[in-house]
Amino acid sequence: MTTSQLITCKINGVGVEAWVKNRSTVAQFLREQLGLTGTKVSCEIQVCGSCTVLVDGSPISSCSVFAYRLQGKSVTTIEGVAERGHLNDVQEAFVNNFAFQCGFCTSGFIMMTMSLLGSSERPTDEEISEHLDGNLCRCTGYEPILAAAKVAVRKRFGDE
Amino acid sequence: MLPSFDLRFSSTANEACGFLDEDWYLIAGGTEMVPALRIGALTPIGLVDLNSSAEMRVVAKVGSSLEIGALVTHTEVTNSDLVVEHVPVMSKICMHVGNARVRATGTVGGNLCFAEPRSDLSSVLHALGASLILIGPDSERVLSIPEFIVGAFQTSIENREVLQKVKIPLPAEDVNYWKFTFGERPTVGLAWILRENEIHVVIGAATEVPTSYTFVKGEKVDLETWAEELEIESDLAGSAAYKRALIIQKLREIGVGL
Repeated sequence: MTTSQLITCKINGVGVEAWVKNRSTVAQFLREQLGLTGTKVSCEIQVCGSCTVLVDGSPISSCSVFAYRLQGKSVTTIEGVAERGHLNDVQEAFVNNFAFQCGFCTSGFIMMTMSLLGSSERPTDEEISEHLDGNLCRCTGYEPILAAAKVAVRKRFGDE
Repeated sequence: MLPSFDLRFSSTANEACGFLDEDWYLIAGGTEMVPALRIGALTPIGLVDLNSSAEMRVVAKVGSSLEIGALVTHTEVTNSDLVVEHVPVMSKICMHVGNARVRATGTVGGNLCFAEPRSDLSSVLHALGASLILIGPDSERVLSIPEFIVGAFQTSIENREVLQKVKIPLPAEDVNYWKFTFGERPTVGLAWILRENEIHVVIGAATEVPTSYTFVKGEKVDLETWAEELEIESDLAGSAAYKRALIIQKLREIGVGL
């Protein structure tokens, strides 16, 4: 019986080789093995979005994907978003729009917004809302969050 | 806390059949499997991970069918040019399944094999007359949706069988779909086809399995009495009476019983 797998992957651009338990989730791997605690775990049933990270550019609920599946993949977490020590456009939009209160959901919302910026076409306002509707904020700050996401999209794709 | 389990990797449906010993289960995207493990609904000795299978990730037009591999994700269905061209309703419904992360991770095959009643895909594929290709150790079976989904969370898949792909006959039926939802999963789903003299309807999500009905156009139907026959349970998403009322309202809107 095998209970662990040896995986090689990239985390925020850095090559990582590690043994992970078969039952370890991506969130456990990031937080407990790598100390990347910016990824927050809340609902553990894929409905709140707090634990969102990007795997090869696609958003996943890291609480519910097994870590062994990262073999050969490239992962971006909230710790990999800032550019050379400066907030990136999405983070800056969240700060400027007061798009968080307690901050627990924020890394999830930022990662979801990041995944939107990878689309080939400019997402409409409706598509932005729909993309973010699987993320929960219990401080009920949705309006400023949406405003921040729209600013980030505008910055990435222009005003059209 | 997730339980311990053994792990095998397989890259073809045929090979996976051989790996499915007793109490071994397939895992694809994991959007249904991981929660099931977490609450202890399944206690496998091991999982057979199919994610490296290239053959099951393909969308292709083969003869007069559109074939969607079991490992194709909802996002991939939405974005597939072939799906948009030949079965646009599939692209549209996959765009609104769960949330963006579930769509990017969850697969068509996983959705069907888990047989969660609150599914959009099973109702629409039923209306499209889709067939499911099951690969066994020495045989292949072709089943319709009602033959495959036999109860809530129950399919007729046998030990050592793998759902390889879904085949939608072309030209595709002109299927419409409406759902009422207030959370991640539909409370009521209704797929329908308007034909010259009849309206063909598949009701799903509220019922244990997607169920089809055909109404003759222009024929008076006492929908309240008819709806009493539907086996619908009350749950957190609403009472049975509420769900029946939603179904009746929608059926009237599309012209049933008028």
